[in-house]
Amino acid sequence: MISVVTLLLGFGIGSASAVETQLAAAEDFGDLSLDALLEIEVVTVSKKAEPIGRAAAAVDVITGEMIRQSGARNIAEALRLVPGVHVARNNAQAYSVSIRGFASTSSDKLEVLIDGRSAYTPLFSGVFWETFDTFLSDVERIEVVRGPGGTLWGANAVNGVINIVTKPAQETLGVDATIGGGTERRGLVAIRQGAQLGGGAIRLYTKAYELDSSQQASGGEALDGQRYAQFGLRGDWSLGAHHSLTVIADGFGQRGTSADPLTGDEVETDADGASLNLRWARDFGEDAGLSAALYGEQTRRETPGTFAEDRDTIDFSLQYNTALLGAHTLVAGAGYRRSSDDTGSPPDVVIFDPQDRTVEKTNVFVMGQFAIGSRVNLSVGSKFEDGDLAGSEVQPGARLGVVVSDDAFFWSSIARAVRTPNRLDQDVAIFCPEPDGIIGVCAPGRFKLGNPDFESETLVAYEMGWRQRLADTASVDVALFHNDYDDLRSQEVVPPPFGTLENHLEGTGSGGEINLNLDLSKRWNMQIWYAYLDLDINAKSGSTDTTTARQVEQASPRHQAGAQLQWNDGGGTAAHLALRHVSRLDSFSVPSYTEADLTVIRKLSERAELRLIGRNLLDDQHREFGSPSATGGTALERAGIVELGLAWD
Amino acid sequence: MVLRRFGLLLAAGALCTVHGASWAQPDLERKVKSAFIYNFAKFVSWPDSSFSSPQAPFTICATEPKIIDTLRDVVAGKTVGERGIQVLPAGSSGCQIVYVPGADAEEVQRVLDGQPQPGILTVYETDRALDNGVVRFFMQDRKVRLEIDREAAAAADLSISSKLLRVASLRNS
Repeated sequence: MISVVTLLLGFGIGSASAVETQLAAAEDFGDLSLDALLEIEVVTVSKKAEPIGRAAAAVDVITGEMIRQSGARNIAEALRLVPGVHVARNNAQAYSVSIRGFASTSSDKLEVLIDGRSAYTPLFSGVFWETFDTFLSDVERIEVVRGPGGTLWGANAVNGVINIVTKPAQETLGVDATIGGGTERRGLVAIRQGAQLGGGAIRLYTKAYELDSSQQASGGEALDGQRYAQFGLRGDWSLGAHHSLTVIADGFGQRGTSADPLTGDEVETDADGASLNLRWARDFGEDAGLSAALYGEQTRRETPGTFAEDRDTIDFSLQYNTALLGAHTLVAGAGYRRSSDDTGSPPDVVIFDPQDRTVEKTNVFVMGQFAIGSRVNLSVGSKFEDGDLAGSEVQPGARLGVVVSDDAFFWSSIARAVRTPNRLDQDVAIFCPEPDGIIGVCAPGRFKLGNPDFESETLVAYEMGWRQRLADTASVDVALFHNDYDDLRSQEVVPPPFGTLENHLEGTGSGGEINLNLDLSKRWNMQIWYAYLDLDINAKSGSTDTTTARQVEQASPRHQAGAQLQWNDGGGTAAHLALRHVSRLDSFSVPSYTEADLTVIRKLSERAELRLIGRNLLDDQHREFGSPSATGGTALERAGIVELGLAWD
Repeated sequence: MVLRRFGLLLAAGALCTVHGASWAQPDLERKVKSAFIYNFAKFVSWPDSSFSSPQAPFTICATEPKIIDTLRDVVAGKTVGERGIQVLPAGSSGCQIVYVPGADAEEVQRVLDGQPQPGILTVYETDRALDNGVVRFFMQDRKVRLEIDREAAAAADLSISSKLLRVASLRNS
């Protein structure tokens, strides 16, 4: 559960949870190690300016408190707070979340982790955002790295890493409950109870909500509502002075509305899942630490007439870190994952050949962090992966950080990352039923698009950035990148009717992000950001795919900007205004739009608060993503939520 | 394109300081800094000449009464090697560590300049690095961080272990 930021900073010792477990257990501060002390969040007595961040990457962190203030009600919405992340809603349920391009509801170029557990499915290397959630009050922070993280995190960390870290159970004692409802998020209940147990602590939570359907672009209700419930627990224990154990379990169930792909009739979709995540860490004094993690996950999804996926995954990983001579550190690790699936069969339209498949993947990585003098830090490492679908892949990277002055920090990086093949790339097929097939599309039969020879998509990324404190109350963070992609997925037109998937696209993504933080006073804070992206994707010679390159280019916004303004009156009332602007997406005929979300929280008593949450306030309705249909590319309506929040020990 | 049509793909530093001020917990910050100072005693070697005798206690000095109280709580019952630990007001003789909290750089610089060298580890926490100070606390992401001035450490005849250097930013090295 080691933090991205921790690794980037080079304080690679001890996992956050171990440290916090130690803290909670330690009455005696004199017994705390240096690493534990470094992890304790204290609050400045006087509001003095803090030195600027020294992570050699384009990284942003949103805290649980920021999520709370923003009124975000699921993980995807919380990611709207992060500069440069393109969060676009395809319908009431489904999101596209992407960084530096390649937006899609099956966006396949991000690594997404929650407490060290990877959230993407090997079916298409993306995340089902509509069923990816947690008890948001218990999130400690979400770290987002824009740019490749393959050296540490492996395949899929091509364009970015999203790392969600929940609080240790010791920090979530007592009851936290929310009950509310609104015009689109119709009903919402969430409750968590935490308690000390056996020298450590444990919490249990559950949440449930119902989403109203959105509007079809052509008018009328879309077929996209959902009901969702999730429950889980987390326990943290320290076992003696040097060992710690974390147990996390989650389960979810979703019932949604969709449409049959052939008849257009309404169908009920169904998804359930459960996971168990065990994490153990030990430290060897100040110098070294070892951690091991084991998780298992089962999910079952069905969209009648479209597709189905049952999946069992088991994953084991080890990580060791140690100090070298001087101020250098070494991090090394290894992992193994086995994922078995059983997909749907005709009459589902989207099928996989073979119908079930087990995929194994192993990896090792090593990274050294070297201090060169007092101002320069260099990290060099590589990940080596071997998988059933991909063969062997090497993902080396180097990062350089330079402390230019107390007020300025420069970093630069060059890294290779790959997106390894998934089931969709190699095995997907379309079933066209007897007797007529799909009229105007295909004759009856099965047509395989998947290509067993499909290889990894590759990226070589060049990045640099600068952080500058402008005044005690203002800082600016600039990142520039040039991404060189090769072997991107194309959909060739032969053989008809659907062609086949090949690695026949290549291209570049260039751009940058600028982020200005203004800490105006104790009561006012402001953040303004802008992201520019120029994607230039082309078919290689010999390719017959004339549409995908443009489709990819025009599915991500060239310009994005956001502003967040936060205010509190110091007496129990707080307000958070978030504005976002996204330029047009020609692939979906989505015009550019500007939207505003406003959240007001008023404390009623020690134990109760009232929350008023307004979403998409500037338009009656607007589209954000996807080709218009009964189930996608729908228009989202202005929405309001009223909630009562309760908390007691 | 057919994949999209059928909706498989359907299926298929920031504001960190915002809330800081309102929940001030100076106690915790003092405790953490005091615990760091106790750790310095473990990870720094002083010349024998800085102790009046082999039995003399290890002496931590600080300029502020609240800090002195917190330091005493943190080091209660602890030792540094064979030596017991005492915490005294700054200005006492025989200090191995002198902690000068406070944000007023001129004031702190005066205290730092007034320390008899060598053999004293000075600790301070102004926004900017000052001369003659060995360890500076600073805040980052609401956590306490260390900056060590290796020139000042060498001038004070202190030898700092790599374990401590590893977790600190270094200055003048």
